[in-house]
Amino acid sequence: MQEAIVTSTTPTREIYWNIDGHLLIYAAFALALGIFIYGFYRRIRLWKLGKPEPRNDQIGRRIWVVIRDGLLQKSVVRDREPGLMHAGIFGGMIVLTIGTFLVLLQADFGMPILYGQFGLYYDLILDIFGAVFILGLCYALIRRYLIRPARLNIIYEDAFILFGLLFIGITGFLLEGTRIAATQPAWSAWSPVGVVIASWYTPETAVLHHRILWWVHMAVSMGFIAYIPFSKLMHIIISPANMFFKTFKPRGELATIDIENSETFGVSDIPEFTWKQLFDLDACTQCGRCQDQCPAYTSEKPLSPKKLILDLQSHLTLRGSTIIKAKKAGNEPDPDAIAGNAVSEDEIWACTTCMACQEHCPVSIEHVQKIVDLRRSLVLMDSKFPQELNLAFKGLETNANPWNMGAATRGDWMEDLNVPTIMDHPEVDYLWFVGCAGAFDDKAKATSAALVKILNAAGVSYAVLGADEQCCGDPARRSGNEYVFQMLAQANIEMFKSVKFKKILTACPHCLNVIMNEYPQFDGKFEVVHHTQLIAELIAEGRLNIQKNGLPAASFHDSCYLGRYHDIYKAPRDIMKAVSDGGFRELARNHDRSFCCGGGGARFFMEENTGKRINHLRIQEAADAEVKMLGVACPFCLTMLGDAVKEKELDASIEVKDIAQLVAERI
Amino acid sequence: MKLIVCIKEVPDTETYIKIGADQKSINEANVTFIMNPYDEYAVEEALKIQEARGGEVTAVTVGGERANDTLRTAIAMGVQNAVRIKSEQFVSDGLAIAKAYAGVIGGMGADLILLGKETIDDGSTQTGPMLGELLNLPCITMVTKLEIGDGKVTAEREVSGGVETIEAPMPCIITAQKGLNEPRYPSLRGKMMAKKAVIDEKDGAMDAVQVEILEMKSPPARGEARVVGEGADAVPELVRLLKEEAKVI
Repeated sequence: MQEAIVTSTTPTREIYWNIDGHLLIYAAFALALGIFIYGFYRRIRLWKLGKPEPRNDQIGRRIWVVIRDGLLQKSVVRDREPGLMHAGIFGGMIVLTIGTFLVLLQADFGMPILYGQFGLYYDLILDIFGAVFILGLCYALIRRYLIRPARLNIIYEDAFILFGLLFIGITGFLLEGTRIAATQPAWSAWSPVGVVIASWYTPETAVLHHRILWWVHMAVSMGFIAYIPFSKLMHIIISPANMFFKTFKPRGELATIDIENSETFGVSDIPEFTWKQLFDLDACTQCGRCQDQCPAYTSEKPLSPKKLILDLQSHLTLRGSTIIKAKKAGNEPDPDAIAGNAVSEDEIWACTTCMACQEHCPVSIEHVQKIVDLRRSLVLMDSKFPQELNLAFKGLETNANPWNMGAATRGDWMEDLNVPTIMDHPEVDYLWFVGCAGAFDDKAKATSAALVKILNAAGVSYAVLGADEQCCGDPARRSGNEYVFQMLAQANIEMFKSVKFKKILTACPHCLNVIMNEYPQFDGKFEVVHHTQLIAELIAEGRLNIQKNGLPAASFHDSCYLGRYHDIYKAPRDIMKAVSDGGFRELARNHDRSFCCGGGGARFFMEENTGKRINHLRIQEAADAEVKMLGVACPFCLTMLGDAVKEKELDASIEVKDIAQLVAERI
Repeated sequence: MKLIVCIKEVPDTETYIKIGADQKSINEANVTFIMNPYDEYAVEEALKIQEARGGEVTAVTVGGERANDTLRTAIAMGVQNAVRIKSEQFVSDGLAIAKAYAGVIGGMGADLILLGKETIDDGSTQTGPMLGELLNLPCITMVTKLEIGDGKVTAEREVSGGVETIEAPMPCIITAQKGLNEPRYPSLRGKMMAKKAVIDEKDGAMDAVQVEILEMKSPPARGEARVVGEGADAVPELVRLLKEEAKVI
């Protein structure tokens, strides 16, 4: 290679000084790129099997997500240690790749880039990032094969990838070192790592080694480019793309079904997923953060969100190819249901829809909708579901509540409590949606009574619907019974529209989510507040005269549907602090890492027969923190954790109460 | 096989029943009607037999327009045909209903006729046996297990303190008791099909109603429950109360 303008006083480097036939690199690159494109083409064919789903709105916001979580690694570094490790490898790879392209531009396209001061910075930056790259890889190897966190698989593919990348990194440095040793540039101090390596060589051996290393380094690098789409390295491309296609819907909003105009409901086979749901599967990096957070997995149920995604990914590869082949031959592929094959029914029913997997997935995979889609097919098409749900479904259909209590008795809880009804008070600020638990469940009825006392004391303008209310539909929708959900939602929306109020108030985070985020699908747009929000506001405004009367060692259990679903973390804590006498403490897992009570996703209405009990694990955490009073803000949590206290015989040390009760007892 | 299931709509088990103004009927306002729970066992059993051995299942009811909903529930579960014997008034006479059924079913050539052991509204447990008498077919009541053999059925039925096993030639009549099976929850596909299904509406002979309801009364309000205490300490007091107050021991 001939360089046009090289003088010994201008820092630059002689490129290809030792290499004959370097243009082969382009042939190799073309080959690698060809294999790379072919590999992705094979995946694209599989994604295209899915149904359409628009994910191309708000382009600016989408690009920002890619910059924030991809380029700047925000979602990755959220789990500090492995996150920094990844950021190191990622940053190293990006900088070294750009660096390589700059060399290429200068050498073969005649762009004088690596000259003067910039050239020196270039040398230094590449050396630093090269070192970071290698350190990251070393830590990755130590972590996976020596520390061995449970969430990581120990398979050959990972070792192959990590050692391969390490090899590329090390040969890169050796190349630099041999080049410096052979050419002895005056500015070699700008390549600190290279200088150290150069000191190991005599100029003669350096020339020989450099020539061999160059070809090896190039061949292995090209090999890796070709290997990307056939391994988990494909996340390099798919994960940032998946961030781009991230959903911007409210976290709690499940997709709706057009029941009247559909032939099949839910997902039983690959083509019933949307393309995005299939794309998601390929974005998985197998990091296992979802599994770490999952209450089903932690309590030894068969479900692991990571395994679910990976099983579906392998199923996509196999089943997808079968479908494509059958279609090519002009045949209908033989039916092959996912449930019971690629994913067991027990896995599908173990999910509490707590959203921890999705919240902590660094690459925006959406697990919960997939599980609900699989449930929908089981329930709506095959009538296959845990037997306990039979009563809940019948109850919802005939009496509009999952316990099948007489619909006419829905208002009975408020006998002797001075509760205004909307019939008598037709224009109010708050329409209080009491919910099934608040109206029928003994423990939650105590919460309702407490809320009555609070609202009356603060002089809030409110009213209830009494027996005209129906279940919000949450247990039906989360258990896949979309038909019953839509019946209930439509009945409630019609009722809401027939009365006058400003906002809906609810003491149940599940009602909150459904009414706020899902009723708009059926033309029911209402402003909804949770009772913790209203109570915190009333306290802040001085409308409640709270008399502290001894409440030490209190803590608060974040409900999934309040915290992760709605980011309501502060209001309940403000209330807890207002009623407790100091000593408020957090449970080990809190805020967005809070651990489910086990009752979400209609699990409340199913038996928990395998593994440990989720509510026991959670109450143990309160016991470990020496909590005496555990405040909750959800009727399911109230019952699940209250039961756990009894079953674990912790009655003497821990009490579980809804925040409303704690406030009502002090005004 | 040709299977026939006789079903009836009844007020939902959780409905709070109010006596109507005439004191002879219930106030049907705000009452949800469901398929009689024992009839659900009959439908489920018929469907299981049909799925295993082929044939078709026909659901038959006696009632007004509203009873079509109950037939549609049966269709949603998987029944192929539905017949409503029209009757605008509520009939509390088991024999009259059995006669209406006999008139329609008699000519259908059924291999097996299934009913609930009783309906939970008037609970007279008469219709099954009477239908057997009218059609001159054997009838096994309160069946908790049913096996179909070659031209015959073997049924287990509850008797006080035990189980009785009975064999009968087909065609015959079976009345279903709880425990026979676990009725299925209709799939959405079934529900959508049921919406569009055509119900065969027939005029029945309902002239022979011989039972007249004279008066209906609500049961007396239940007394208060009392908790005497907890554990072994409470036993003497409980015994004393059972002896002296309740006078049951």
